[in-house]
Amino acid sequence: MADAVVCEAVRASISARADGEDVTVDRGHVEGCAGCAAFESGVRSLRGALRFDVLDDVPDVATAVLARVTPRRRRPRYWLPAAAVVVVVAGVVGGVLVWPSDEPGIGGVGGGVAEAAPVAERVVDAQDEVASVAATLVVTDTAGPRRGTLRYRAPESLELALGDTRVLVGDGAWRVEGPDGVDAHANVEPFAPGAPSPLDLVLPVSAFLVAGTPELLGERDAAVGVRVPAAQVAALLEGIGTEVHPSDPVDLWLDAEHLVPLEVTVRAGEGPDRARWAAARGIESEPGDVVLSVAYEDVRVNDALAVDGLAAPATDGAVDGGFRPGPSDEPVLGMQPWRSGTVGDVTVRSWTDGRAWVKVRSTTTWTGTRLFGGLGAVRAVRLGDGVAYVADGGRTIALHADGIDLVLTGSVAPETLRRFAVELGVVGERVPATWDEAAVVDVDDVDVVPRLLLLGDGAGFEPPAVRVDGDTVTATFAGAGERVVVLTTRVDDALRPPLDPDAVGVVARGTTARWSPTRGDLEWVEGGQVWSLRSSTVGLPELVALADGMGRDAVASSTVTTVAVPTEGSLLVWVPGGLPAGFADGLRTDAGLGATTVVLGDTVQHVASGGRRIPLDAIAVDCASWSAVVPVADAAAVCRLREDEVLLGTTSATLRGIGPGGVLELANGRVLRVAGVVDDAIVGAAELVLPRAGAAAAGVATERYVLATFTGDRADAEARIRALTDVGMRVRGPGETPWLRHGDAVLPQSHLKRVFGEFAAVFRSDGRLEIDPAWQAANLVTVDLPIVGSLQCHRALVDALAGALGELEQRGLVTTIDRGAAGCWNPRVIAGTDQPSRHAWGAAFDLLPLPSGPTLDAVVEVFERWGFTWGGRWVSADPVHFEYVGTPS
Amino acid sequence: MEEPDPGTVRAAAGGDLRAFELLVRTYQAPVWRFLRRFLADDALAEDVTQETFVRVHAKLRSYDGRSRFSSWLFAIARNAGIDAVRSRDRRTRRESGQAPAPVASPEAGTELDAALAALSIDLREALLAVEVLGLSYVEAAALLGVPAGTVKSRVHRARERLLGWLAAGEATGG
Repeated sequence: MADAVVCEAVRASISARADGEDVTVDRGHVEGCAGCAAFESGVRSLRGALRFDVLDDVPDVATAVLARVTPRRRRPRYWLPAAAVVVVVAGVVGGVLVWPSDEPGIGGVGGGVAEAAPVAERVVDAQDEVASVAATLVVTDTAGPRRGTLRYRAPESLELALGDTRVLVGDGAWRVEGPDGVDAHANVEPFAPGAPSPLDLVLPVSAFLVAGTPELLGERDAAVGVRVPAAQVAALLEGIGTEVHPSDPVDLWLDAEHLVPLEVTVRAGEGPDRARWAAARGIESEPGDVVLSVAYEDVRVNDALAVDGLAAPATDGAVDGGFRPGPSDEPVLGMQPWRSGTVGDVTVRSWTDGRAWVKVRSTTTWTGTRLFGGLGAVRAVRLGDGVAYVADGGRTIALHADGIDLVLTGSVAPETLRRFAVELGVVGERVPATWDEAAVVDVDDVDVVPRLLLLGDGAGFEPPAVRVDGDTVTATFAGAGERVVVLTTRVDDALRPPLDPDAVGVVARGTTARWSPTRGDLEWVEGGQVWSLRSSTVGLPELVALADGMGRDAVASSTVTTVAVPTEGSLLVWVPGGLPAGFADGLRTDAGLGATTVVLGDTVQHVASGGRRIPLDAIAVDCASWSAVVPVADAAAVCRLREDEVLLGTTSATLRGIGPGGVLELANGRVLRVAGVVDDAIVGAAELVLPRAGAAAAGVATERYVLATFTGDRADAEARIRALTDVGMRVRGPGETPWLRHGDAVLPQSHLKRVFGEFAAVFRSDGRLEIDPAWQAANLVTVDLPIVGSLQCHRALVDALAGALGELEQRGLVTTIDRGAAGCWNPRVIAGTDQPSRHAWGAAFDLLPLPSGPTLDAVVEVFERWGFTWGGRWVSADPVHFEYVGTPS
Repeated sequence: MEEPDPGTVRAAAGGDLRAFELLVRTYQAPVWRFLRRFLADDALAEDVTQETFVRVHAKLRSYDGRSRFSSWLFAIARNAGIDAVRSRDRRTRRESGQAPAPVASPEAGTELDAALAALSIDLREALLAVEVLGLSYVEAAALLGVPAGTVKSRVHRARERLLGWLAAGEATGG
């Protein structure tokens, strides 16, 4: 046929055009030809899908490659930036925090075991007195024992020989010598964050600088012992080079006089997240097993002879760090000037006193739109006559002033660092309104604080960095070492669809909370707010304890609601595209699950005026098997249904405005009588619930999901289910999802209608919808959006979309968006079905071209924060698709 | 695809392992993405990604800077991938006595991966060179060793087949 020939030529031109060839596409033909139009949008979707980057899944081959190209060399782990974990957590939130600068607030070094706090203070104070340390090390881990020697001279010189590796750090240079290679760096600025910094091997100052409530083990033989989580002494452990979990308990024995370590013992911790972490690394250990021990023998403190001959590292073949020495400074607060100079436009000055040090980096040419140094979550405090921005629990202070920006860091206590900042004589100003940190809630404006359930006293965290974005409040709590917890809360009565496919339910605060292991996120609903505690350095058991210990006075008990757990002990198994044959039987016979029931689901059409139809999301259940899996009272309601009767979900009943006795006429001629209303939680917020006997006549036939009861460990049950088949599936258990249904990553259609309205439409044969003009007039707006320009969208989505796109534009993450594909409002059905696309409501946004790599990660994070869910995480991934699931503003 | 700082490439070629590590960390994700689509096997893709960078390390001194670094790198990745496919096919033949069929890994899970695996290797690598690596027809032709017109027709045929097999992008919401 001539048409087919024309179409083939047009499609070839579409293909070439998409690849940047200079050819003309016959637009007139494409607009009139559904097949060619579908091909054109298909090419775009395909590109998005192919370029799509699976988050978290990219394997890291760098270590293995380096091992192969330098076969015998072993690199100490402290080459990695020590603060990497903290940066990740802080980067998620950014923001500004406010807290009265001269009040301890919550947390703080004072709670917990009374005798333990002085140990922390003694460690920090002892550094002034430590001029040199020499010791013999005996390290024992799964690789067996290694012996080594450690020699240190304050403030920056160190020699560590351990196993077959030797590390040398000197003034402005460092060098690692392994059996097969040398890594050398010269002209390094003082106390450079990227340099090997095993100074905590000598005196673990960074573990005790800010809030931490170490459990006191006792005193013996002129030694004092404390127990802390590994994340708190991360700097010390990284110096040794054995990987441990951040929540593993560490027994640390310190010299009672000088507070130098004498003995370090790390044991395997507990909790499902720890077990999961160990399994991923092939580590076999039972809770309580010793996974690493370090003994310091023959320790000599301030014995000059013991460190005699400690030489500066040789600099042959060294990489130039760019530091150029300059004139030295004046003493400040009794600390002597140490190395000063420049790195490019940045002036670096430092002071020291024994092991203690302070560094100031400053520049007069800062043009960024966030604080110099990019500090992540900060809080504004009064400092002298001005304002300072404090990050990392007080371990970093930034000042923005007329013509100069500076950042102070150091190993001294936060209070000392603050006094140091005052001494500099720079009066800090508030950052300009366009900067990231500008949304400062005033120190006296504490209206936001009562809405926070703050972590309890003695939890071991500094006063939080608080950021307020509309209904959402974010508080970032820094603890000792690398411990960071981020608390967020927003006004909402239900969790959003889970972003982590491996989410599981746990009990916290007396309710069912959702734990997302890959995100380190614990979420629950309480008092009309959704709460989240998130951390990559604090394990699940401690997060649950923190949640349980949070203040309750802000939440009246009468308003406490709980996440619905409709089928305690039941799992939902969903396979996109339908269940494999015999799957439900296999769950019983091969996977050892208990009762099972298969739920059918499809979209049916309710007859409206003007030849239009209203799409309704219908499920059909078999009363006999269903009642064995769901609460009896509601099952009974289904069992009473006649073939031509139907139940409405609660949201559906509100939308329809009809109750028992009402009548629904379907487009296929079937007339259904409403027999009652059933709790959304039990039927996944379905709009219609039919008895199995009446399903076929109503046009509901697709097997969507199975519900199955299980006993014992939920993870084991899931593993047995997944072993049955290779097809992609999703398994949900109690508390893990707000809607026990298929496709729970997006709002159920009933909830979608609650937010975006319900429409009636003419369903055309080409897949287009002619939607009721009254709905269009009431719901659609044409707005001018950042990056993409003028677009027609649903009004409920506009603020969030404009916010997300504005942030993407401001941060330079996305510079162009394909307008034609953006499809904010696009009235059509999902190809191959009669189910309206979410684009028909204007509830989703397609981002093309889709960025990749770290940029995509950042883009997804932005959209998620603005209330969108990302199709890239779905079982059948649609990576260009961002769908609004948040509460409309 | 972004080009690395020439100084980093020179330093890596000169034996600076920190510079080489930076190159690995910069390019391992796109190389792995390309290979997992190319091989339709996540575990094998990880091995071949590793192999690619070992080869890159051995050949860095011979990189003359005339082609883009990323093009040079992906030519190595593609050749390592083809070697792996041949080796796997030989193994399959030896073990089963049958001609190998493309294998989609269970973890891949998506329709797209299954559909890609079902394409012939010629169509698949042409499509991936253009879509995943973002090469022009001329660049892809140099990479694959075929005329540009052949790349063009292979890419188009690959798209027609994939789109024929796949339902349109939006699935069923999760």
